[in-house]
Amino acid sequence: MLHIDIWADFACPACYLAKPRIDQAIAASGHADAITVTYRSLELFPDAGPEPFDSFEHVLHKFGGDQAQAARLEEHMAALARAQGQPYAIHHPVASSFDAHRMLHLAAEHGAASEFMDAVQRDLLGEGVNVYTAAYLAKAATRAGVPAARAKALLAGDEYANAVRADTKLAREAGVTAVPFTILGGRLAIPGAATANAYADAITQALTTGDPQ
Amino acid sequence: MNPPKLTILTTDTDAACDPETGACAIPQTPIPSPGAPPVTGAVPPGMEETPSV
Repeated sequence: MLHIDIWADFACPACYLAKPRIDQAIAASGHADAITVTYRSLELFPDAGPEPFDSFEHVLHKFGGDQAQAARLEEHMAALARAQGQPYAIHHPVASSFDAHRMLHLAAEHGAASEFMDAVQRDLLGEGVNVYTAAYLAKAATRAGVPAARAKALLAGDEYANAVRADTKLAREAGVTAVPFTILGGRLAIPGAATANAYADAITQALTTGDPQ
Repeated sequence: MNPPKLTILTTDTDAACDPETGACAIPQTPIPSPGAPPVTGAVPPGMEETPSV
């Protein structure tokens, strides 16, 4: 058995790139049945509020207002996504993803975390959809396989809030400095979005050397 | 899960985002054409060559 922990955020373009590569590496490993994955929460914009702002404005701000440089980075990110068949919206909304992460934990409870992550990232980063509303999250969770009543109940309360915070705390303790951050077998780590081949090699290495968990 | 003692694998990576700042980075590599294999290059921990956002 091999367990893989992946720290990621919905609004993280690098996580969006990495997700299908990890899925592909697991599927191609020949040991998919022996591999389990936990998606762990790490908000890329923990101080963001409920009202969305334009991701490109954030990029532009980081580049000191240099429109050409900001556009170059985002065009490159878009090209990487398109090269592996993913759409990419250079302008996508950014807001607090805390409730989305709570929903991710609920989705995991129903074996639907991967599907939920895929759907939300595709809608947000691929299409620029505002995925932060309660209506969107309930709909996406239900489509992924979460019972509608459970999704609605989660959004009405604070279920899994502590689980989201615990994942963030664990990330700090583990020294996570870049997302996605993938830990295989509790000991082999890959920071950032690696190639599918690199994930495949890491899976082979982790399976070969045993899982201490 | 306890805080793990990690071995960081040196792998080809082509993008990463910083959870402290929300900034994302890519290596200085050509933009791939659709259908081309993913561009590879060193990113974390060697993100020095990348444009930081």
